[in-house]
Amino acid sequence: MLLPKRTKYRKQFRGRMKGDTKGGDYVAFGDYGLVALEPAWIRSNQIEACRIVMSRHFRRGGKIYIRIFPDKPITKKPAETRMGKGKGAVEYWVSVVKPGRVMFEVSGVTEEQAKEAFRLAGHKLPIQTKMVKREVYDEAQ
Amino acid sequence: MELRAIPRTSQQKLAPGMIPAVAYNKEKNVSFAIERRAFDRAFRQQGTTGLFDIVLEGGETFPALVKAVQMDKRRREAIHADFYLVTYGEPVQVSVPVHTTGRSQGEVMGGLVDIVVHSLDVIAPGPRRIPQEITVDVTALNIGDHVTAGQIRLPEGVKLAVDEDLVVISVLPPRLTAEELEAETQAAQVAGLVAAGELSEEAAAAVLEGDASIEEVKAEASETAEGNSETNQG
Repeated sequence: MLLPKRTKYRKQFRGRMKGDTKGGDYVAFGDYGLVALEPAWIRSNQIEACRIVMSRHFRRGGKIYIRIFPDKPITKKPAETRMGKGKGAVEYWVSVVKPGRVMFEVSGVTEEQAKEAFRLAGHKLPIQTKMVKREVYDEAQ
Repeated sequence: MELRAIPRTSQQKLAPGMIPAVAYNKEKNVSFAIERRAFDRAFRQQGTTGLFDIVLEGGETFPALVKAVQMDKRRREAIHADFYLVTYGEPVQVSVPVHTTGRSQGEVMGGLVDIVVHSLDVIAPGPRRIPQEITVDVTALNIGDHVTAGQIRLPEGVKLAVDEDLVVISVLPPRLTAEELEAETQAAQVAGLVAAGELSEEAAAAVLEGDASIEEVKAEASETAEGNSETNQG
């Protein structure tokens, strides 16, 4: 699963997810992309599940690009612990995704294959998604 | 292609269906509004390489190229356009889309033709001599081969604006399926055991053919070894 090799600080504040994505809103590498329509924390295991389901669907062909990286540590206090005594331990890693973000891209496959792969991947994610195709707007970014 | 435009001031509220746009070069800049649908249709047809004639309402007409387009991030439609005012006869730098033609040898063998750079920056001698697209024939490419920017044949007078060594197209090897990956790992494991003398070549062949697992063969080998040592003692 994806996680940073090293970080400057061990734990982070939660933050807010206002507005649309700041960058990564166009298809940069592949022919088709999967775009987020809602803001969410996408966990590293969800990203991995998407990658696996897409690569299984493509069998040998196709290339998958993962355009999000889980660089935000999420902490959790152990069960049945009294409040206080500091922030909990890092439990998992997430990527902060906002609407418009192209999360995955694929190339070297037909549109039908890409559509089905993104449908399967969308089921592994906690948000609504849509598939987009590389178009002239992506070239003019 | 002609594009009708209405002059605008910076704080002016636009009519529905209109988007703000700006056209500029080193000497001047003009702000105006264009109809989103008309722009969308024209831009999809011409892209960043086609020349637009912007006709300002009650004013002049000027030739321009699309430099950048801002997109609505949710709806993926244009919300602002930047045009570059061109001067005939002056060189102009543009980003030209790269396309491939033919089926490469590597693709026939199961590889994947990967377009690394989807649009290549070139310097055309004039706005009328901008290539609409760059087509690269990939028929001769094998797995592991690549095409650099310097190897691409450009129209006469058109120069590269990027490094000649920039890889534009490459042919990637086929990805292995889960079963193939497992078979490959097992083959490597068996080869290691044979090299270490823990497995005979016959046993290795049986494992690779799927007649027995590594554990079974190993257990059998150890039993045989024990039997031999008992016979020697007796």
